[in-house]
Amino acid sequence: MHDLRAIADRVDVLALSLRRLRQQGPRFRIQHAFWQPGTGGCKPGEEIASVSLLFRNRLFHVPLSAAQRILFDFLARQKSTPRSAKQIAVGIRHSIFHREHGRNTGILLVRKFAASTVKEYIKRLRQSLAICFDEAGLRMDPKRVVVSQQTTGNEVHYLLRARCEWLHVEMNSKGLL
Amino acid sequence: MAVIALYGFDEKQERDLKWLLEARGHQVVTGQTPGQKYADPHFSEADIEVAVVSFTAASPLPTVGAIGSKDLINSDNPVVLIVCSKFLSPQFELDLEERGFRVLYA
Repeated sequence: MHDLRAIADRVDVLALSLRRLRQQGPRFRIQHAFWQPGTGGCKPGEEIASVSLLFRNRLFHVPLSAAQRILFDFLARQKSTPRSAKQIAVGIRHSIFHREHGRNTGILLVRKFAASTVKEYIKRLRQSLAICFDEAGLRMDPKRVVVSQQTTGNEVHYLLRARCEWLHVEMNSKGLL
Repeated sequence: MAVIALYGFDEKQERDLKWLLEARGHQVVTGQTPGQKYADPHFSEADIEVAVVSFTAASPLPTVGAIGSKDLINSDNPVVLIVCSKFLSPQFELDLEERGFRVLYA
């Protein structure tokens, strides 16, 4: 004989997690390396080391280039505000965090962003997410995560529909923990 | 809330669990076995969001593979919850969880 109330309680939780996945998107962990203890985290000089999908209690690496990681991090921070490719490029250029990306490693790991490159990176970001979702068994169109929103003009705005958390890792310049 | 399918429960438990889940706002599909199409025309395999599978000595686990297959459940990211009345071997439980199944001892 099964404990039916315990089953119903678990079903409630599973149904809620499904609804949250549909409404708020998947969950990601963004790891910042070369964090300096006592600085509070997300400070200029850190490196966006990796982005992982958290799905069904497991972590799945999202295969992103440095530029894609910078873009993902930027979109994750701005996630409630849809922005055009030009606004994203300008935003990244003016963000002190992204301008000094990786300075704590001893070399700057910055990338140049223009509106046209942002559009290309968005396309590649979706391709990388598709690879990761496939590996994780998550059935979701990456276009529902990196969302394009049409405006009344020609401009397209982009929005990351996901739940993101940041993990800060202390690392020395030799890449050792 | 969600569309739930029940598999492998005896008649009384299935009825009681259906009542309990419906009281919590879920839609419940019963009376299906793996490999069969849904008799209830209101539901299809694309609707099932959570499949609850009873695993007892009387309902062996080979059915689980069929339940997890695309033929029976084909919604976006369905969850299969295996309810066990006896402990599984740690290796087997780990295998199930790595395949995305959830295990509940109840």
